[in-house]
Amino acid sequence: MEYDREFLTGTVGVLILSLLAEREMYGYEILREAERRSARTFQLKEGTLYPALHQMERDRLLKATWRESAAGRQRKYYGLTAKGRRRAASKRRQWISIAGAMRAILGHAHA
Amino acid sequence: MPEHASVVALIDRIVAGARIPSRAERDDLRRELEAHFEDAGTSEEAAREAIRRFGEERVVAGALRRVYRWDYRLLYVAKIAACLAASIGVAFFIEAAANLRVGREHDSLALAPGFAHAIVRATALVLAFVVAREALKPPLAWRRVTLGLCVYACVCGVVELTFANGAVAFVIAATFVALGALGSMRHRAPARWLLIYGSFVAVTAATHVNIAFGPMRTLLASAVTLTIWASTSAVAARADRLFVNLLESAG
Repeated sequence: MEYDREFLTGTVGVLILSLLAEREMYGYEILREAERRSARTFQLKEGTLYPALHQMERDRLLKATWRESAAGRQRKYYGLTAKGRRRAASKRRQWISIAGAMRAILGHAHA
Repeated sequence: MPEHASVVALIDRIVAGARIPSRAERDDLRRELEAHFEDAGTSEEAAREAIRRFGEERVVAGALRRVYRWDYRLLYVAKIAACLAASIGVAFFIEAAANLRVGREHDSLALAPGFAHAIVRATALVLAFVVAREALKPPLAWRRVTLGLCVYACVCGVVELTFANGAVAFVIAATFVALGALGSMRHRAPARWLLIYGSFVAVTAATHVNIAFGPMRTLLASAVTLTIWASTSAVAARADRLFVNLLESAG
């Protein structure tokens, strides 16, 4: 299904923060994990992930380190900083609240 | 082109388009993108698919440019500051050499009384040249032109408030720069220099009609102006090359 871009705007940040709240990951891993969990709903233009990661790193929400992956290759792993954890929790609360409200509205409209 | 070569070329273009001033950060981005395409698969088909999924390189490079825009602006401002400082330094030496006089007792050297004015004029010329060069750089952007005009007008205003009639030097400098730019459009070197020098002589003569300046002094003052104009042009070109090399040096 094709989604309007306006629906997806702002979701990349929440998606990155939520996934990294669980464990450290590298760029490609984040993309595949998002795709897997969303049952392929989130099929981002993959290149757009990196500017978002770099911006969050600059904003000190993420910290990055190069280390060996399970496959034995050097990968740049991103993890949340304390500020990133707070932001992730806040975004999560906001998102759940908005999603709940939208569900209520759409449910009413449907009924 | 084989897909692996396409991937390398794509990464090169994105890294260059991101305009990241720090070489370490540029190398880091390159390494990260190489890792991305390596994870996507090593076959030709996988590489082709990875390029398709990656999205438009213009959009990705633009987004990265926004992330690093303050670093870029800082480097750009540093380049202009260095260019101004070096050009003004060179202009100072040129004016000092041109204004050096043998003292009344013939046993010492002194600077001519008009040296201070000459320095203001030379500084104005350097500033006008650098602002015009940056503002009118292709591709022409009206925002850049407006910003350049505003910066120059602000400096003019500050000088006028500080020294009475000080802004006149800036108006004359802008005229020299405009004439120099018009003269530079000639491709043949002798004609170009003669045209620029001739126009400088005309402006110098026109701006000294009310004082006894004399033809020799007019010719000499115009030669000094031309030397400062040419040295500023050389310094600015060198600063541009350094700036581009800093942004483009490969990892």
